[in-house]
Amino acid sequence: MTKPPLFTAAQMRIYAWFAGLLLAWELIARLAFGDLYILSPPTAILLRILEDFPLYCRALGTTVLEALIGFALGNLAAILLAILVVALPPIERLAQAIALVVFCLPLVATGPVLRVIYGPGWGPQITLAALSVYYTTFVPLVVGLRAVPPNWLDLIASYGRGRMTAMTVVRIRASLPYLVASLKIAAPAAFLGAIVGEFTGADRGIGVLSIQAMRSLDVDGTWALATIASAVAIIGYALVGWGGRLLAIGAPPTLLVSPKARAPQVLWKRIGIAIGAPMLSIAVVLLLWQVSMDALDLSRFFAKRPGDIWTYLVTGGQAAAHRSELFAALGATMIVTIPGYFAGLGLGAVLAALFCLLPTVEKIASPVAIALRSIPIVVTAPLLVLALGRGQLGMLVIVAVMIFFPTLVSCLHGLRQAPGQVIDYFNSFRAPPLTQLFLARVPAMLPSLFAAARMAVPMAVLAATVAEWLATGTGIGNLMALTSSTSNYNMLWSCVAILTLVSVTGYMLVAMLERRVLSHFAPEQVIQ
Amino acid sequence: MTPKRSDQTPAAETAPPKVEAWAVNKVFGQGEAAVQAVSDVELTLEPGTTTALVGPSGCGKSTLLRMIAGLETPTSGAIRIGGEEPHVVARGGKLSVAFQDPSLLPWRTAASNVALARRLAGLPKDPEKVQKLLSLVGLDGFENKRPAELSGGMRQRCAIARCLATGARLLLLDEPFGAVDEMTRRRLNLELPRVWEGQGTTTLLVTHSVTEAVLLSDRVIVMSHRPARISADIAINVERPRRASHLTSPEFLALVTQINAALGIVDEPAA
Ligand SMILES: Nc1ncnc2c1ncn2[C@@H]1O[C@H](COP(=O)(O)OP(=O)(O)OP(=O)(O)O)[C@@H](O)[C@H]1O
Ligand SMILES: [Mg+2]
Repeated sequence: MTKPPLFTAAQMRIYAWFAGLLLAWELIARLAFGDLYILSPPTAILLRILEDFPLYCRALGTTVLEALIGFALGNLAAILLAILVVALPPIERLAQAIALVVFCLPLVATGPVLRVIYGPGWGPQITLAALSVYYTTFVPLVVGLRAVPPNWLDLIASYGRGRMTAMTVVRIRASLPYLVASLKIAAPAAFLGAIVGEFTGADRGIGVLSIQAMRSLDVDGTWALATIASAVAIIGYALVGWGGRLLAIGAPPTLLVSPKARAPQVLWKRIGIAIGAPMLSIAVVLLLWQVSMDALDLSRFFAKRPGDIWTYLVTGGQAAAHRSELFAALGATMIVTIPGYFAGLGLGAVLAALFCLLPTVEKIASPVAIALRSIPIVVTAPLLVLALGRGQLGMLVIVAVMIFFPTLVSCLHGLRQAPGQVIDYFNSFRAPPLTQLFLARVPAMLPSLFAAARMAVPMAVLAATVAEWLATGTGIGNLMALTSSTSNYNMLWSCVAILTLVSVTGYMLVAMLERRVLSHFAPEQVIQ
Repeated sequence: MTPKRSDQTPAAETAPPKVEAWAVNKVFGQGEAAVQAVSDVELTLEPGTTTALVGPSGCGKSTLLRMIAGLETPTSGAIRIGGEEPHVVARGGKLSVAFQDPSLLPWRTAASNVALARRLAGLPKDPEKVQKLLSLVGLDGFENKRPAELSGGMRQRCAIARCLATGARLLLLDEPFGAVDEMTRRRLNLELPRVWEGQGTTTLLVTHSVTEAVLLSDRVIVMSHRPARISADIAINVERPRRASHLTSPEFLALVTQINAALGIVDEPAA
């Protein structure tokens, strides 16, 4: 009797590659970087993990629990809001706008603000974990709840049943694949959010240990913590995926296509919405800010209201000085964030295209990329700072790396979407691979590239500010660190406001460009 | 004629309803892009009869059927089912639609798709009836398969079973046999009417097959394209129950020829 092989040949090859990679890492670390305090060899990392096992376990327990609570709360909020938006279409534009603003809140700056609101404890970590999963669940879920074939709804209507039945019998079940796909992304994101929360002044957890290790130039320790964090993130991603497979929920057709409310036919109404909707959204966001602070009865000393910031930056006596300080810091951050953003995006897209030309490399690189995508890159920021120094180049690399993996994974997914018939058609002409790539595959990749580009905007800001906050001592991240330690809350809130504004604007610009480009290359993706 | 409300007696609950349409128009879109899908349709479906609706593709058959089902509202005119508005009748689960597209829910098995109709109509569960209907449409042994595991024709048969599951007295069938092979189609043509005739139903059947229209109905209505209105109304006085032998009888063939002529399917005049 022969047993089925434990691993398939393809899996064996992947493991062999992985082992080779580890060996190369070990050798390079030992021989080339021996005394440079940058790269730790895998054996040293492993030893360190074993040595400090109880300490790491306790810290990990805290962080994982925070992440789990945040994961549950953030996703619950996203699910409820998505159902509400689909059930009550008129509130959609507003809900989307508010969701976007919340998504674009700079986590690093929100952390200290939350810290003063909550005081010591887990509040900020959990809130940041919830905030970092909320949007990536909300957006695909709205798409999923809506993307129901109209004839299913007709079936419900033909028995005289209304929206409620359509929601419970059809929409919710039909959106499950979208939900599972977003929860997969949310698992590592929640972990990342909890760690960022810990960076901003918690007393225990992986984030706290990371900062300590980095500040004391403990290279092995930093590497050990980054390894643990990455492993946990990958396990979270895999667990959710496994749960989805267990429930036999397939993959959704596309992900993160931005849902759009239906545009009205009449021109003046359309113009009205184009101008009115953003104004209304801004007004509602400001109102929410004011009302939530008032409702919680938070002290004006640290919980600033919109009016305070307006006085501080625009009408106050020293407003000009405050503004110039703020904008100088913002400028310093943007100088590295913007090139880093484009470098990460470009590299991800180009590499995805290259993989596509070399199918064997793709087979090996694709699972590795998916695994690395779930690593909370921010956790490795301390390492990158150690390795690349505190200059602009290091910052740029951190931003680029943060964006690179999600873009690569998204683009690989998009490239695989090129319709088989189209590829067959090109093959029938013996079209050379490059022609095929540019005429058939790249257009098919564009929607995924743009989806990644949109989501990457707040990520780039996060990466830059985290690095500045932790290490480099420059830019707006540093300004936030300074002002939060000196209790200059006016400036801290100004930083939060300006960074949110920058992220939202960047996101909208990419979305506008996306609509332009896609209506040319992939009109079927532009839902009108 | 004006719409009149009929008295709600218990008998009216179970008897097949009368369907009336007055000056029904349906326009999709506005301005230059407007499409007149149905124009000035006057129609009465007598209780307990089967009426077939034939016409070229895109002439508005599905739209008319959807308006009777309460899924679209007429741009002008009125439709009453037993004196009531279509959506009111639909809410009571008293009409049943088989859609042109089977529209089965992919995550439910064949049996639970059929059972879903009873749940939507607010009726108690009835696994035996579900099973009986599935075997009637020839899906024994496929009860626990999901739609993706069924062929196109099997899916359509499952949709027919679902349509019959509520015992509704008004059946609106939109090309229910479109994807079913010729042999199965004839078998269903001959067997299914027994189900609905046995309980007494008013049936509207949209079909592309003239033979099927004649075989199943008491009356064939021909719709024309542009303007999308009724162009012929032909009574079918063939004895019931219909049998395969009818297909070759001279009177049957004469009716088929008459309808084909109304549809404009005639020989080119010889040159
Ligand atoms: N929801 C809709 N919006 C706009 N136009 C529609 C809509 N539904 C139908 N139409 C138009 O109305 C006309 C009639 O369509 P309908 O589906 O009723 O035709 P049909 O007779 O059922 O055709 P077929 O035999 O091909 O099913 C067509 O020109 C179609 O384009
Ligand atoms: Mg039709």
